[in-house]
Amino acid sequence: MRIHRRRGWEIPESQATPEAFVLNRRALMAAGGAAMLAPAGAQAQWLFGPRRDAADPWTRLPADLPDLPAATRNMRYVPGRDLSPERDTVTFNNFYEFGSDKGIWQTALRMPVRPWTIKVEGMVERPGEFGVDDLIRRIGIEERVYRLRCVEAWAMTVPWTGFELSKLLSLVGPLASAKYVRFETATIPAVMPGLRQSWYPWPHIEGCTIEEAANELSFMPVGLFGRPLPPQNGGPFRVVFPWKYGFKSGKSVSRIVLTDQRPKSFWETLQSSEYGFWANVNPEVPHPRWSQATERLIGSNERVPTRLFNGYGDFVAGLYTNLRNERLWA
Amino acid sequence: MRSLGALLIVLAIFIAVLFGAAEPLGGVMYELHPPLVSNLQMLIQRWVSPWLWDHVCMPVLAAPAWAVLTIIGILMILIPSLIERWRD
Repeated sequence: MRIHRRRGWEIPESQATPEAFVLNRRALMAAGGAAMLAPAGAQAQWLFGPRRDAADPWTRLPADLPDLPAATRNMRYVPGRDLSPERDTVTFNNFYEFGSDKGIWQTALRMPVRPWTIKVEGMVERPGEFGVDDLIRRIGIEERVYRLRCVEAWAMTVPWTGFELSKLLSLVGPLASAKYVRFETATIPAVMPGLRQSWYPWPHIEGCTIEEAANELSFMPVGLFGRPLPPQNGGPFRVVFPWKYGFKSGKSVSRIVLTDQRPKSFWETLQSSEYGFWANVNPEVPHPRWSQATERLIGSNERVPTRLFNGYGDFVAGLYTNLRNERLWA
Repeated sequence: MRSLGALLIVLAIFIAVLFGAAEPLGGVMYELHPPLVSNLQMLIQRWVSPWLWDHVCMPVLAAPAWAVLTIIGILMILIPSLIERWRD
């Protein structure tokens, strides 16, 4: 029997707009649609202009860092809500190496983002060290708009530019013995004041299973709103798992290790009762100190219901069907 | 207050022996209860002032635990004496 599993972008036929309405609206929509579908880079230029000063969260170091190649938005991943305001996205950040308050963007901008290489090693056929720009050229990039759900019960909708994690892994050829992927954030003491807290278990480690890494949603962004990914958002190179709480998506990744040992993440080491290995979004399972039933949208401050797997269940629920005994939601 | 100060000095010696003379206060707190210092950091940076954490708490937490406790202990012994002398 053929089972049709509905994807995130699909709606029932009954909800489709009648053709006559579409034809009448088409002229009007054309102008508006063209503006909306303009590349995020153009929107960013319109919002912020070419300004580069201390108050500009898009300031790049070095300032002559090349722009990203043009990337087409992949319409397979429709977030179902408006993009978060660009300025909020690049000025409201969690990045513990730079501090634990949300206003770390100016500190983070001191981090040099070129040259930047990523070592991919461990249980692979062809370990290697890759430059970010080389990877962009070799793999190619696309834009995906993902919902982002922080464990702190706020959320954003973000247009990332990058490539699938599986495409990076295919370059190195994972061995059959590899069960997990471990992501290591760069440690640069000269620009990361948080590292002075020597008692924390640096470097910042995150991880996932090899099956999660192979999922089509697992994404390696190198850009945001069509521009090179700024350090405060995890630039120049990070990972994103949109169905998990945001802390699972390692930032400023400099090393990826394929291993048969489950990685113990930074937050799991610090507070395992609150932050576990899986951390899949689930509105029914509260954080020990707050509810996860709703989330506050950054920008509008609107509070909306949280969705199981952050609304990506059609893509990922199958990964967990045989893991009933695991703590999947923390 | 003087007794508490003396107790802190004894505790400082105990910690220096147990954790080593170079172990920072933050490290001792982390060893005793890992979430303690991160929760304190979040509390201060998010709800009080990031500046307070960076410029006051961080240097204190990064200093050797025995030294911090000894200084606080000495202050707790001396301050009541100074206050009494000032009143007289």
